[in-house]
Amino acid sequence: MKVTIQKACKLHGNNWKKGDTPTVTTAFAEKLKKKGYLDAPKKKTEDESNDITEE
Amino acid sequence: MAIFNGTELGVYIDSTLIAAATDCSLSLSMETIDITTKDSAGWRELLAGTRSGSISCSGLIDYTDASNKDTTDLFAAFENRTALSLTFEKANEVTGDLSFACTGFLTSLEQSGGTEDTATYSATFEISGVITDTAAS
Repeated sequence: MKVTIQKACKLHGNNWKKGDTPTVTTAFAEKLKKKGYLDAPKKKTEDESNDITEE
Repeated sequence: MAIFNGTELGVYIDSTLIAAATDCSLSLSMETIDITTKDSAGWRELLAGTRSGSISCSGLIDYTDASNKDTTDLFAAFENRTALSLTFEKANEVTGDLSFACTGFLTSLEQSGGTEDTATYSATFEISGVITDTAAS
């Protein structure tokens, strides 16, 4: 199945950049999904980006 | 009944599709040991022997498909005599579909280009050891 790589990935002798669209086996696609290579990077929530507390 | 279109079948190296393929095949065979004797009533008798197989793939040459396994990757596998992790399976599996996995060596790689024709490649992998099937769930 065709997948879209969301973050650079070096697995199984592959070297994919973000945005690459390789066709991989179903089992490997599941592995990539589990490892988070197919999910869009999580945006920082407002709380996280305002982590620095000012005194 | 779940007959499907052959276009869906592909050969994967390290779980990644061999690029720009137009044809692929998995061929399995078994040698036999002849145990025919005078007691065989004129009919050949056999014992099961060594099982073996090969995977073949042919298509259009692409030297720079960074996402999939292109002709450059095939040549590297040949040059380095790499034991490859091969899979023969459908692109979109549904429950019960089989995928076949094995280790193999690229034993033949042919590239050709005719005048005013596409440049093509043909690769053959000889299977080393067991080939296993897994049903999609």
